[in-house]
Amino acid sequence: MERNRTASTIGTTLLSLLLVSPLALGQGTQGGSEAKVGPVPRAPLDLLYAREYEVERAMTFCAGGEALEVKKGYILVIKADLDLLQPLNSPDFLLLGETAALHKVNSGYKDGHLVIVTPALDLEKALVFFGERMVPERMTKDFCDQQLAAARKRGIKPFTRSKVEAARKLAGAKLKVKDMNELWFETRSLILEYAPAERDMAMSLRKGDGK
Amino acid sequence: MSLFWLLASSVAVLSGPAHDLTARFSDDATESMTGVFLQVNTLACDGSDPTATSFAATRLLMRSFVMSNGGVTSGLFVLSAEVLYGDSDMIEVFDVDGRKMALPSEFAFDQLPAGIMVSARSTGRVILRLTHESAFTTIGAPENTDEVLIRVGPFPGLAGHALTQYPFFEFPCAINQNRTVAVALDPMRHGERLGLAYDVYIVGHKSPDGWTADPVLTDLTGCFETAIVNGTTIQQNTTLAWGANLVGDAGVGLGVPYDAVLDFDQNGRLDPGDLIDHLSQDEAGFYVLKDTTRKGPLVSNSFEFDNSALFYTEGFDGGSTRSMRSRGLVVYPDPLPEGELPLVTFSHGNTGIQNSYLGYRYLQELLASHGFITASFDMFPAHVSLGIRWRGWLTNKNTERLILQTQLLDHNGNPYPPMGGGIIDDKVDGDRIVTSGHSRGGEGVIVQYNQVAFPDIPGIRPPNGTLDGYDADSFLGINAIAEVNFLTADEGSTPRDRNFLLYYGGSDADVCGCVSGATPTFHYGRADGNKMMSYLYGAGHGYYNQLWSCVCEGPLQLTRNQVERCSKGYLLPFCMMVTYGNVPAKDFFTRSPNVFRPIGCETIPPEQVMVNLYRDAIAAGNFVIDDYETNFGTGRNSSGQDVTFTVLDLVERLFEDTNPAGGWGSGEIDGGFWWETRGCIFNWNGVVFEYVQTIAPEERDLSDDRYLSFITCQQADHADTTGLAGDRDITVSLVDGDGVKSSINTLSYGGIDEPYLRSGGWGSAFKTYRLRIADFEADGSGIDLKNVVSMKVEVGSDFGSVRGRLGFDDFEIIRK
Repeated sequence: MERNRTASTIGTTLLSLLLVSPLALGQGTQGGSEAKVGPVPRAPLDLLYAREYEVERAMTFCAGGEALEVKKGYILVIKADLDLLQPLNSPDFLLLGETAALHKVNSGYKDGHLVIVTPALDLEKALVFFGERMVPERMTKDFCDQQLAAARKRGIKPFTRSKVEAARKLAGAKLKVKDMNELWFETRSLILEYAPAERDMAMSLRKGDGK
Repeated sequence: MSLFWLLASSVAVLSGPAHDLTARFSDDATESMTGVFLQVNTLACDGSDPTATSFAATRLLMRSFVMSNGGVTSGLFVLSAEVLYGDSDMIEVFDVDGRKMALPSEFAFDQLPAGIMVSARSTGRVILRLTHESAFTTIGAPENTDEVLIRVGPFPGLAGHALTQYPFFEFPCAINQNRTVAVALDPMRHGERLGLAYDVYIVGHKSPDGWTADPVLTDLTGCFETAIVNGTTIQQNTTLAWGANLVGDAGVGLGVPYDAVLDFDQNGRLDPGDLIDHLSQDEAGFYVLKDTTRKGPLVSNSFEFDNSALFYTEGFDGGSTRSMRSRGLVVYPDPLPEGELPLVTFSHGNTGIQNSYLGYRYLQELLASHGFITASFDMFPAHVSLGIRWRGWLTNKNTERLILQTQLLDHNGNPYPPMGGGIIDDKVDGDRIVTSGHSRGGEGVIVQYNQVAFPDIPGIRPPNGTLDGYDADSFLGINAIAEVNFLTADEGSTPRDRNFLLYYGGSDADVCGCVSGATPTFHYGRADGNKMMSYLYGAGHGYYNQLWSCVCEGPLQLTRNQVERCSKGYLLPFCMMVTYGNVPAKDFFTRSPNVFRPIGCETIPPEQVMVNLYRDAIAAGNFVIDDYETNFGTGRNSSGQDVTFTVLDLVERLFEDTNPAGGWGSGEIDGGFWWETRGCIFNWNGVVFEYVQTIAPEERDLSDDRYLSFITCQQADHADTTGLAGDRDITVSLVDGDGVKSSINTLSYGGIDEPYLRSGGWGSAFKTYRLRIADFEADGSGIDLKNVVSMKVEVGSDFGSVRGRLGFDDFEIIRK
């Protein structure tokens, strides 16, 4: 049998030992000026540029919950709502081409233009859209399927033929390069043109020669 | 037996033997029954070298005894020990010159009186016995023997603060200079001293050898106080020793060390038998601290550096090859103190705000004024994809540059350009680095460490990337501020065994703790080193950086000034602790902010709750009663023992809520727990409920351990949470093998805080409670701390709050 030999007194608090009047300092909401974010999935506002590429050394994309080795695809420039490009720290809104996470070369948060690299897509049939916030490497097949289904349900459509044709015409011939480094280096001029606020980032891009 | 001897024996029994064994500062009439108290002598001395100065020091923690012959003129006296409870060698006996004596030892009648010194090696009870043997005595007869019971147990200390409920006194290490200092003596622990007067001194700290060289007591409070041991409670024996004007300014250091001494012979000197607070080689009795939010004595200066395309980096982590800009702000003490100084770096997170690296200047200036070289780096060059590894690498390359400066060559073979005119060349200590990062920069600095310590993790470093000038051991601390967790532990996103400090706010509207990849608490769970967390209910994401906006949602938001004060108030102690081994700094994390916090944060009102977490490194070797990571199921703890309970709806599970909306729900019983570790949750509503953890048989001796520690918090949205507003309190009890129970209610150290109400998600804010083991003995509770068989969490109106729902984790016994 237990015998409680303490004189424990319950029901008092020490808080008053330290803490002084709540009026001592002002409170209230400050900041909170961040833009409100609209719903996703959401389509880009526009397709401005589309250039086919081919690399000798494959690049990796996250697609459908798996790693996808890619040697062909597109460099695109799209316009997007700024609230989707707001530079927060939680995971970015995924930019998906069907179930593949597309590579964003720049941030686009000031100019609203994103230079992106995609795997091979049929631009007239594939859905390109912003999905929920997620780290691409953490995407599962179910998640990707859910995102795509949600995009379709929301009525997101592929780029129109005329839009794709115009973007491809502007871009010109297919780009053939050695690897991702050369490919990204080729986007430098696009960033300077479409996202000049990110000049520093553009100028830092190197081909990989070390010089 | 003749009538003469019968009478003689009776007289002797009634009056005791003529000879005497008496402990100094004890009651000769009761010392064989109530005994005398000794603390374990933590100062090493084997007695083999009587000339060694160490004996002179260790004797300060011994008890002196006097053996007298009572006028006997023949025969022998035998000094012996009988261990009643404990190790056979639990005490050592020395002569006054420090020669160790074997027991039993014999003394000729004419060798007495003589003094001896008794030192305790471990806890327990032993009878020290002086027996007279002669042709006229009966061996073993009571009239020929004088005994002293020696009780060796935990000694909580002397200095601290009174509490309003059991255990009625707190014996902290650190005391803010705007408080007072009291001393307390438990009259039950020190029962042999009842009725004795003593003088209370607060003196400048001395090492054991320092006390040996100069035992004079010089009170620093204006005058010493005099008191008498009386009554039966600690409250009756609490004396205000320093009532005002505490001095806590240690210059560039943190905490002015003091010793509290109870001078029982009132001779103004520290002698064996006097009581002193924690005499040790490493620590003072207590420390008085200044406001850690305020600058130190050194003037700081600064310079910026900006060298484009300095760090050529081959493509990795989803980004292509590029040359990163080396840009940042260095703040340093000016003039620079001699020698190399520890380095603290800052790495900001993802942002559209240019020059965000200037936003930690308030922390840099605070640290520089205390002798740190600090640097904050521009992370814009690392804005590549999600860029965690890039951020880590950029921080590493900048750190390397700070240490090696122009000794480094760029990718073209040219020396790095000088930085700040060379002012800090050769001044940065590459062996003492604290790295701090915010948001994506926070995970970046965690990965930064792993890039150095575990370069073979696939993809963690860029191809052919090199680092010189420091290594994994150089990282003495990692401070992550509201950081993301995009990467897994296997990918290097874990603080591992480094000292880790997490800052996080309950109103963070960016890294909200409620979606995948934005749960900073995961890193706390992954950390194996000493880890601590400062959680602020009303802090958003941005105010940790002076250029960012609040980025917050929810009520009771903290102002920028409040967030900065909390950020400063805890970062300085953290840096002091990990780089200099500062002792009192740890108190900022082990004690609840309800009872101890930076002075500059004391004006933050109670409803803007501050919560702390602390856990010792796994390597500390504490005994984990239950961390829920093994032996899944509610009937067995992780140390393999039974768990019983009458609490309601008990569950054990992984605390990894996947639904950001709200807290508890019938389909989401762990709602609101954004953690990556397992724990238990239960509720109650009524008078008496309990949750009982059995202590493993081999671990039941807690008498030389320091604390019982656990973490707990309320769970949001459950009816037993919302049905009763406010904080919760519970009672934690230890029960010994005879069923004796001793209990401490958690309100002594602040309530279990009401959850923070926020739109968009709840965070269950665990807080650490550390209950001093010795306190369970206070006021003669009678518990046998050498045989504690169970630990109980007792809830209900008989023990605290009438209803509630709490989560728990990490019940453990802190060894040292």
